[in-house]
Amino acid sequence: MQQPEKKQSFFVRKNSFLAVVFIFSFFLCFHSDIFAQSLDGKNLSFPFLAETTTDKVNVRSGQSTSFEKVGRLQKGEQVVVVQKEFGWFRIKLPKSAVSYVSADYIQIIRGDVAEVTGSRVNIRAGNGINFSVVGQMKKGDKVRVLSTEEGWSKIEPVDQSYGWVAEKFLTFKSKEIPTPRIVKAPPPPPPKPAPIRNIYVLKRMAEQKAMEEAQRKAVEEAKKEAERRKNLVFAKGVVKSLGDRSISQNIRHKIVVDEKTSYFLKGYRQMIDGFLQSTVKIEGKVQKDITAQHPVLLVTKIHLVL
Amino acid sequence: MYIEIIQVVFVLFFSVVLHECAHGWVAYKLGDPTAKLAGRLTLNPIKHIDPFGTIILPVMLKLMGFLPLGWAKPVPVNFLRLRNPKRDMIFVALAGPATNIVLAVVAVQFLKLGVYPLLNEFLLTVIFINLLLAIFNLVPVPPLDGSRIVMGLLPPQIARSYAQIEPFGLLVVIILLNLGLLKFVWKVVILLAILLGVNPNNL
Repeated sequence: MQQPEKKQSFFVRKNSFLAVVFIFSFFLCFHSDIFAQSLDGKNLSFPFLAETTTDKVNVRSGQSTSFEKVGRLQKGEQVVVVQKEFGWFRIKLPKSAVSYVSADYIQIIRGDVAEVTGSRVNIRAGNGINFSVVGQMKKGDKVRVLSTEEGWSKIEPVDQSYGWVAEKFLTFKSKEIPTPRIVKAPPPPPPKPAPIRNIYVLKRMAEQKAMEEAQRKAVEEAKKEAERRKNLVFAKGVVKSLGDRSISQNIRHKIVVDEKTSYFLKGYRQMIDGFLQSTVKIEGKVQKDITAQHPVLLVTKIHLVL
Repeated sequence: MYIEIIQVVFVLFFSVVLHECAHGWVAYKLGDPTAKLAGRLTLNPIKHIDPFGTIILPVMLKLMGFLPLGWAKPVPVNFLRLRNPKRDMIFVALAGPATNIVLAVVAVQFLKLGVYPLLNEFLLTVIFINLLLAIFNLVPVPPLDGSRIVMGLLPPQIARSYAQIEPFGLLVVIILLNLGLLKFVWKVVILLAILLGVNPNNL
């Protein structure tokens, strides 16, 4: 490399330019113009509606024949094309295609409609984690479930799942694409209306119902009464004043049933006063009072025995 | 979300370290012990961290909402100590991307065996990050490996002037990134993945 200083610098300058040209030509060569979107020589913008040109067109999970088939299109079927790459069109999966989601991340709401419960759930080309991903759903998205087996649900392809079709099988149809498919849960079933019957039958039914109701009420009443009676004590004896040995403001009398049994009486003082020294029948509730030597009766009924 | 980021960062760093080691190792085998003497022929990631290029810059770019761009500390190679500088430079440069390609291919084989379906996501990350590293580094702009290969192949005159772009190389790369370089690189990565039989739509 022995070259005169002058000549070299000339070369260096010239070649610097060449080097820059080289780098940029590299990028010009491979710039995305090579992958420019064109069909039949026309420039296209996505998405657009396309039509199949032959029968039995495979829809695949990726842009090469090495990836799984997820569906098959007949001649003249229309699909929405969203992208093009390496000679393959990316299309929205037609309804006839096959797609699966893990049953762990969806939950049936009503009928065959399920809601996505995971945050980002993969839609796959088959019932296993080794199958290609064809789309993704968000939490809350709705999906129609066709069948569920071994933890994987076969679903009706949703709008956000895609397949690939070789470019040569599709031809431009129009720029008007169908509105996105949105899966909605069916409305809740309306309450069952009562079937209309013969008016006499209806009448009899109403009577029967009323009778049943009355019976039920009677039984309930009886139960209540029994419950009330269970807590009641009946006593017959002579009412005596406790005088200054009264236990409290409200307990100033006692009833002597016999030599052994007597009860303190709790109740309206003036009322009980009227029965002093007479024999009465008393109905009342026993109240536990530790301080008293006799049980205390809360008087609910009192009447003279003549 | 966070698991994904951690996974990507982990795989990225591991792959970059292997990439750098491969450069140093091939250089060492071809007669240049610089990397060896600098203690850089190790898989210990700490030795390969460049505080600015590996941590501060990517984190700052990410926080500012840009593409997190960064680099590991490059393994030093003194091309003049190689036995045949001009030719061996190509091999040294190729070693890095080749390592990434090998890693990707190995991961593809594991993925195709399908023994551990739970690792699928991880393997896909390994495949795509390594392909991305390989292709990006093969871009023929001077600080990147691709330029060394081109330099080795160009006649010495042009090669020398080509090398003079190096100081502005990073700037050129950033400008090119803005002009859609990454899109182009990614397209090549997808093409490679398809050729390897990995569905790029799985990512």
